[in-house]
Order: sequence, then C-alpha cells, then structure tokens
Amino acid sequence: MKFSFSKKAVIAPLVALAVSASVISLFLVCMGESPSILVEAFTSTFFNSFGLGYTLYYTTPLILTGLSVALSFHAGLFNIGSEGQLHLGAIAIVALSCFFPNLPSFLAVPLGVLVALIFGGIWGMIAGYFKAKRGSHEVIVTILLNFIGIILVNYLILYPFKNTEVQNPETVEIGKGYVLPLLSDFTTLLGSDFFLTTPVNITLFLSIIAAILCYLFLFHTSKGYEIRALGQNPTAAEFNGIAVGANFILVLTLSGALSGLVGVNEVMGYHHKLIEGFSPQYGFTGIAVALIARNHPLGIILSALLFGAIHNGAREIEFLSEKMTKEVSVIMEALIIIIIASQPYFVRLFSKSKKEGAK
Amino acid sequence: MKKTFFCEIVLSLSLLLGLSGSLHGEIKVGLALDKGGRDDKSFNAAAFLGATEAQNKLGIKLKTVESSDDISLEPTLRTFAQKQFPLIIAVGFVQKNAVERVAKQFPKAHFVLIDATTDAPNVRSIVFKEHEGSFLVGALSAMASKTHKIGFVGGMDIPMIRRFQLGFESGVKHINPNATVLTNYVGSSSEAWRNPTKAKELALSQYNKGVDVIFSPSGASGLGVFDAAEQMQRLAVGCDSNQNWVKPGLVLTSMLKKVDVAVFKAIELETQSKFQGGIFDLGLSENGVDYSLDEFNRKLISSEMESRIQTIKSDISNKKLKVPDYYLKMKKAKSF
Amino acid sequence: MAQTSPPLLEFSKISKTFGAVAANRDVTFSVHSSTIHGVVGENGAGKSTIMKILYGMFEPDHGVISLKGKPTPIRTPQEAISLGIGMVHQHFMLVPTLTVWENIILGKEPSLWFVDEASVMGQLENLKKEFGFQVELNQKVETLSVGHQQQVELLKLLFRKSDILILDEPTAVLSPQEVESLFERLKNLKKAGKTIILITHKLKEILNHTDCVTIMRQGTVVETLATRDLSEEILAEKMIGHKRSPLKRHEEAHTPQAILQVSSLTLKKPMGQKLSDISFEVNAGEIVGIAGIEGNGQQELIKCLAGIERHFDGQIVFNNQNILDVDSYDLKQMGFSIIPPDRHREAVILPFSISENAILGHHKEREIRNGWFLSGSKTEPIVSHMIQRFDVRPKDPHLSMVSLSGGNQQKLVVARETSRPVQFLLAAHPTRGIDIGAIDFIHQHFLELKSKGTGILLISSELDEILKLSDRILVLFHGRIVAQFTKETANERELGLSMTGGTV
Repeated sequence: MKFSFSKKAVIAPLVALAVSASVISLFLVCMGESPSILVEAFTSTFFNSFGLGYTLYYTTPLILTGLSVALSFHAGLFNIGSEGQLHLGAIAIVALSCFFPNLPSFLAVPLGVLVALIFGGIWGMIAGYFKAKRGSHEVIVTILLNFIGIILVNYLILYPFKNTEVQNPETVEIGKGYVLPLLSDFTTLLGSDFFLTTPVNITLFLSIIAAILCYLFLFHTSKGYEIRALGQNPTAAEFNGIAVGANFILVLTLSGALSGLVGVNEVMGYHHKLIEGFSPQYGFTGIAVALIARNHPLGIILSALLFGAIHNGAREIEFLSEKMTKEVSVIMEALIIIIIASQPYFVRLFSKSKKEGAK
Repeated sequence: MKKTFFCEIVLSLSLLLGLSGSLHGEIKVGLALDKGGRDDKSFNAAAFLGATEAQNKLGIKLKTVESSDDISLEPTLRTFAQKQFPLIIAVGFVQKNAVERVAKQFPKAHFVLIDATTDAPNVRSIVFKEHEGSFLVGALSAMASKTHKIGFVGGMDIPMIRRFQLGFESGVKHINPNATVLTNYVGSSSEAWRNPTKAKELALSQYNKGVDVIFSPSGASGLGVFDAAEQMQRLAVGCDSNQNWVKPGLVLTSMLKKVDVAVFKAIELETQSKFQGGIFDLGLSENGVDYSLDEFNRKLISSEMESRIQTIKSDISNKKLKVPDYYLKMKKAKSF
Repeated sequence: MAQTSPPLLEFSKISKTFGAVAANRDVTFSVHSSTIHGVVGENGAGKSTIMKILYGMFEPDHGVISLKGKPTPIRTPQEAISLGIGMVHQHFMLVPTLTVWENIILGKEPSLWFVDEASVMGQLENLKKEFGFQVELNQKVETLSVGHQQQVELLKLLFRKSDILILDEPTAVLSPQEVESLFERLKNLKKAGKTIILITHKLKEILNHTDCVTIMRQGTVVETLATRDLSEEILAEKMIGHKRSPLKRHEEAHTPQAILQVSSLTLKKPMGQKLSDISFEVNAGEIVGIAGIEGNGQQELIKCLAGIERHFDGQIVFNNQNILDVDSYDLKQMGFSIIPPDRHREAVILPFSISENAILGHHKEREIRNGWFLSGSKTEPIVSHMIQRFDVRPKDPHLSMVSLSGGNQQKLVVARETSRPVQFLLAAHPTRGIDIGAIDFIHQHFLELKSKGTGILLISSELDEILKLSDRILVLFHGRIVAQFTKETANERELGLSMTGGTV
C-alpha cells in the first residue's frame, strides 16, 4: 500500500528540464543572444516576490487540472475534458453571484466553491455516463464536451452575463462576498510587501489540500483502491466484485469537480469576473502535468510548479530577449514531454552504454 | 560544489546588472499590443509605427510585447512596471481593466491607454471619434458605388464597432438617401479580430448580393475582406491604418485613426518630461481621424469627390454637420 | 549415428542474471542433430531464458554457444534466423488480418518490390505435402483455429530453412487430437533431418515423444538423459528435487445438500459460443468437474456464474438466492468464491503489491479499515497469515506481484479466495502453467475444503486434474452438457471421445 517517490521519478523530469533548457539556449545563441537570459528568467520566476507570486498563481490551476487528469488515469480513463469542465465551474460561480449578489462571505465563499465543484462535476459525469452505460470512448466524449462546454460558456459570457458597460467580452463582476483574499493581503497584514501586486490567492492552498485529499483517497481508502484496481486491470476488478460502470461515473465526476475548482482561482481569486478566453489551455497543460508526475497526486504539486514556472518564465524571456517571444514556453513544455515520454528508450540506451563501458 | 554554484549565480547576476546599467540615459518605453499583433496592418500596426518612429527620432529604448491571449495582458503591463519602464503604452480597449489595476499599484509609472478611458491621474487615455472618420469614408463609398448597395463587415460586435457602423451609414445616407447598407459582424468573441477566413466569407456573400464597396473595421480580419475584393474585383475600404497599398486599385480609401500620431506625441511629451494624464478625445478637428488619399487610390477618387469630401470635413469641424454618435445614443436610450 | 558425430549445438557454462536473480547458472548441455530434445523444468527453472539466449533475445553474461563445434555469438533474433535457428513462441507472432502465405513470407519477402506469388506458393505447397500440413494458404489467419495457426508458425520456420526449431510450450492451447497430429508432424520433421527443441512442463509429452531430455531446476541443469531410461516418477523427482507425496484423501462426508443450482442456462450471442440449456447442481462437500476442450462454452459459463454476463435465460441459484439479485461484491462475502481462468488478466493486478492483491474482493470489509481508510496494520496480519499458510514466496507482502512466479501468484489467489469461509468455489483452470509443487499443494487444499463442506466446480482442460479430483464429471461440448460420469464410471478414453462430440 506504500507508494514512495522513486529516485528515477524525480531525476527524469530534471534531466528533461536540463535538456530542454540547453536546446532553448542553443536557439538563443543561434539568434545572437546571450543564453544567460535563461538564468535570469529562471531567477526572476522563483527568487523574487513578483516572479514567485505569478509562478504560484499559474501553478494553482495546473495542480487542479493535473489532478483531474491523474485521477481519471488511475481508473484507466483519459480525461481530455478538463478544459471544458473548468469553464463550466467558472461560469457557475458567476451565475450564482448574479442570482445572489449580496451574500455574506461566510455563505458566498463555500457556496461558490460548491457550485464550481458541482458544475465541473456534472460536465465530467456526462462523459462518465456515456462511458459506463453506452460504452462510448471517454476520449471522444470529453473532446466533444470541451467544444460544447467552451462554446456554451462563451455564449453565457457574451449574452446573459455580459457586462454591457465595457467593450471587453467579459461578465459582470461578482459580489463582494465572493472575493477570496490574495496572499499579499496576508503579507501586508504582517507588514511585508511580499507577493504584492501578484494575483496568487488562497486557492493555492485549496489546490494543495485537494492534492493531499486525492493522495489519501487513492492510496488509503477502499474506494480509491477499487479505482486503482479498475485502472490497472478492469477484468480482474470485475471478477472481484468491483462495479465498473458506477466507478467510471464516479471518477469522471470527481475529475470534473477538480477541474471546476479552477474557476475558483480565476473568478473568486483574481479576476472577479469571467473573461472570454480566461484559460490559456490549463486543461490541456494538465495532461502534461499529470504525465510528468506519473499521476502521483503529490508529485503533481511539483510538476505543476514546474509548468507554472515555465509559463511565467517565458514572459520574462520575452522581456529579456530581443527576438524570442513567450511561445518559447510551448517549445519547452513540448520538449519536456517528448523527453519524458521517450524516457524508457533513453534509460535503455544509457544502461547499455554503461554496460559496454564496464566491459 | 554548492559554493561554486552560488558564486556562478552571483557572478552572472552582477554581469546582467552591469549590462542593464548601460541602458541608462535612454528612456525605456514599453509597448503592449493586443491580440492582433504588430502585423495586423491596422490598429496595432499603427501604434507600432508611431513607437518605432519615436525610437528612430527621439532615441528612446523601445520594447514591444504582443499578447497571444487576453489574460496575459495584465502580467505584461505589470512586468513593465516592475522593471521600471517610465512610460507604458497599452494598445486596445481590452487592456482597460489591466491598465486600471496596474496604474493604481504603480502610481509613479506613466501609462498611455489607446481606445479606452480611465480616470487614473497617471494614465493618458486616448480615444478617437471613429464616427466622424467613418462618416467620411461612408460618404466616399456612396459616391463611388454604382449599385447603391454598400457593405459593412464589422469585427467583434461591440459598442465601438457599432459606432463605426452608425457613422458610416449616416455618411452613406448623407450622399445617397436611397442607398442600402448591408451589415455583418465577424463574431462576438475576441477571435473576431483575427478571423480573416470568416470575414472573407461574409464579404463574398455581400458582394454576391450586389454590394460593390465594403468597409471593414475588423482588425486583422479585414485582410479577408481585401482578399474577397480582389477575387470579385470590387472595392473595399480600409480601416485604422492607411491600407491603400494592400491591394492597390481596389482599396477605395482607408479610414484613418491616427494612433501612430497619438503614440508618437505621447512619447515625445514623456521625453520632454511633459507627460499629461487625462482623457483625449480626438476627432476631425483635432486631426485624430481622417481618410487617406495617396498614389494607390488616386485614380479611384475624382477631384469632384475630393472637393465634396473637403466640404463635409470642414462642415463637421465647424459643427455645421452633426454626425450621430452611437455612444451618445446608447446613453440617451439608457436614461429614458 | 548421431551420437558419434560432434553435437550440433552446445551450451557451455551459460549464466544470465536479471538484477539479483540468477535465471541461468552455468548451463551446460548439448543437442544432437536430427533429434527431438526436451527441456523440462518447473516455472522459473530457466528453460525459457536459455532458449531466448539461443534465439538472440538475451545476451548471456558468461558462457558460449557452439554451433557444429564452432563458438558462435548470437546477438539478435535476425542473426539466429540466419544461422538456421527458428522459434515458435507460446503466443504466436502472426498478423491476423493477413493471409497465411503473406504471414509466412513476412520479414523474408523474396524481393523488395515484387512478390512472385506463384513461386512462393509452389514452395509452400511442396512443404505442405512433404510434412503433412493442412492449412489453406489463402485463408486469413484470424479465421484459423489455434492448431492451424501453430502450423503456420511451423511452416514459416521451414520456409526460412531453419534447421533447429524451438517450440515453447506448444501443446498448452491444443486439443488432444491436435496434440497427436503435432507430434506426428514433428516426427516427420526429425526424419527430414531437422532438430527440434521442445520446452514443456508436461511429463507425458517428454516421455512419449523425445529422444533426449535436459532437466532444469532453479536456473541450473540437473541432468541430460536419454528418454528411454526414464519413468514419470523419476522425471518428476528430478524436476522438483524431492519425492512427490501422494494426495491425502479425507473421509467422505456426503450430505447431498445443493449449494449451487444451475437450471436451463441459455446464452444467446451473435458472436462466440453460446450456451444452451445447461442444468446441473453442486452439493456441499462435492467436487464437480467440467471437462471439455477449450472454447466450448467454458468462458461463457464462467462469466455467467461470476455475474459478469447478466443477459442469460435460466437461473443460477446460490443458497436459495438468485445470484443476479445480489451485488457481486456482496455475493463474495456470502461465501461464493471464484478462481478465474486467466490469472494475469482476471485474477491478479500485476502492478499492485502482494498485500494489495491479497485484499482484492474483500477491500471494503470492516476488519481491514479504520473509518474511511484502509488500515495497513490491520491488513498485515491477515496477509501474512495467507502467505504463511500457503507458503507464498518471497514472503515480503510489499513486493510487487510481478516479482512472484506463476505458481506463487496462483497460491496467493487460492489463499485469497479460500481463506474466509467458502460455501461454493468456482475453480477455473486453477493449476494452469504452474509448477508441480504448487499443483500438488492446490489439489490438496481443494480436498481439504471439500472435507469441510465446500462445494467446488472445477473447470479444467487438463483431463488428469479432472479425473484426480472430481466426484462427478460433466462434459461440455458446443455449449451443451453432452455427457455425465461419476468418479467410478469415468475413464480417459470415454471422456476424450465425448469431449470431441463422439458418443460412447
């Protein structure tokens, strides 16, 4: 029942990071710029309050979407629908606030979190239902639900909930009671200006708690055990009295709910409204986050931090370099994924050459 | 091992600090473009043109950053402010919220906001009387049209583009009350600013209905309208920048929003330490909007058309001719 | 004459370790040309490893293989093939959507651009005639029976002009008739000068069909002998390293009380074997065997009993309760246990630890939980009790299931399914692919369960096993029960006949 980090699980992403950083440095040199830009971008994404604040802000949704993908993966399901699920979660909060704009904080915050969970969950559950009852492949269903969900939410942003006062495609602001404190609000109380002007908010802690709960659920409860058994060997699970369909629905619902929480970070945590195109594909990046962490919920915190830093660091690179734009982050993420995915090949290559060397 | 690594970091950091030190003396100007990017040949391109001109003539240090999505705008502005750029230019109304938030947190930095207004004292908001410029090109289109059917392909369906539309329609009717104006919008999300494929489809269908001039204030999507004009060999009207050169002989004229002039001016003021906050609403009389006439469309505009337009221009400037403003209309509708 | 010439193939001092496990240690033996050479040993004795080394799939750590007296390194299967070594794997390597002849020339196409179909067909027809193969060359492989697929594999080797044919457990999937014709064919091949290496754990095949046999145990060669000097007892003893103890029979405690009643079970399906009108019952303290060649409805019957296939007509009643009315997890807790037929696919979860596998199917029980959480400290004594009692090795419950041999995995499955009070046990192929020691252990355990009143339904393709354990035997053929025998009336000949649809 124990599940510990193996050394390899930590080393592989680090190697991947080093290799992709070298490739980017090579690009920089080819373009006639100094690769020290990378070092500076790295230091300013971690080692100052502003950079760290933004890194952690991007980390928050990536933890949640990473968990969403990983949880499904443990049941042998590939949830590509995180993007649609997080859209639904986000709009649900706006809708709640439109109906009850003046709720006091102690009601508004838990209710806001709850509707985000529920609506994200429903979007996941639909995919689960089709998988369990109709045998439809969850990849296809979740992809299609992404289209439907995103378009539906954009419609809601542009029409029923639109803020007609402004030109931007965005909804009206949520009520004051729904607003979550920023981390800088706490540091200000302590007389420090750490995290000041950065959007990282207490949803970060919510997502870390979610990761811990996922870990406990998967590896220490009998339901989590059922889900992992199902994912590793569905036939054996079925022979041992584990209900396949019901668990598929449950897992995709939970995955959807986790994605839905992204809405809490974006709407209640920072923007205080929903802006069209608010997610720079957090849902899809979540797949990579889960992959790098090998679907371990606690590992996902670290891999989300890595991807959050890359996302944030890319902007720094754009500022520091003359010719690179922040799309460099896409290259970097892609390289990391390719290297991790081809890891077995490299391991074999490495161990072979080591053996050869010994001879 | 650890120590050497630390030394390396310190060394490289101090090196970098030294590098940035050499930049002193020049004023750093940050230019944040919206989704269209510097190659939209339109609105963002105009801002970029003004800023590069300032770089060449005023010796400032310019850093341009494009945004691929709307939510990266704010971190971009914030990073500019964090890096102590004294002047930060935010192009596009999408940046309104971001500028408001960042300007409040960095009161020492100066901001220029194009196409939207805010009250912060350290923000120079620059807006244009699009309806006046649109009126001019509307009038020209009506004069050039043989079918008396004129098209309008808007980008995103928002009040600002409605303002273009209303000014344009009034211009058309001013010349020919019997002309009809067909109106379509590319979309209602921000994708509408860069969807030339859909804009082209809309333009083609308008041309097929007998339209022979189309005005398209739609950012980078407008390029699709020009393609359609080339395919059908009909006329189109450019917007924001002077786009006459894009398809010579087919672009009747362009409605100019002199973003380049406004951006240059703002930078110039900053270099002279004469930055001024506040709202600047630029119309015909302030030389903020105009229509374009150059060697690419010279043959399309007769001297008679030119003189009629000149009369209209001076009438508007002298307030003899009133161009309906969609914003005012909205306000009135609300107060009733 | 073979004995006077130098051996065709010689293994000398071959060692191979995987991590800490020595799969082969100083393996030394030789194979003479034009013989059928058996390699026997229990699972994990290292017989597959040595053959994979010969076929170039593994590189040995030490040692040399000599061909015709000349040391020959074999680094890849391609090299092995070019040296005339061919292998028929236990799981066939065929492309189901291609035809027989396309499969045969695959990887050895005579020309890159253009296949001279007529000449290929001519060669293949000759090979077919010479060795008595019956496959139709233009048929798609997916439509062939398992026996015919094996013929395709053999033809492939002959087409590639292999002289040394390695067959890995070739009879595991064949019916008794198919087994007969396989050995007939192998004899013809031997006459034509081919050398055949037969890997098997079935002692009868060794005794009846080989000339020489190499016995392996725990990675080493025990002995290489001429087969005619051997008897089954001696062979088994050398294989397991000690004498086999005979099964202990308990006193018959017959109380004819039906635990499981199956009545008019009928399963209609557009594809696959359907079941028609199957009725039988299993009493407490009784072992009922179901004999039959695989693919005659066993799989469907198992699925219906396990509650996985629920759309059947007729009834399955356990302890006066229709099993479809009970949740399948709850059914297990009521004493309805199943040992599924395919260990890796249906019984265990290989990436899980031993301890996690030991609670599968009982994972919701109060006694191993602390509130919502599974309790490691509560699970541990239960699991280590199972490990102790069933002698599962290695004994560390945190090890991954993969690190157990097949026999030990199966012991754990049997332990899991029978360590709680069991009223009915469905044991499907309970000893498939495991070593003799484990087989004896499991058989003994079944008899003990029986004496305590458990009713057991034993579904197996091994006639020996059915005959040894069952009180009654039913024969399944084409989805019907075609014959019934009691312990006293059953004999191998009649059973075999009715298994293939003949009447007694």
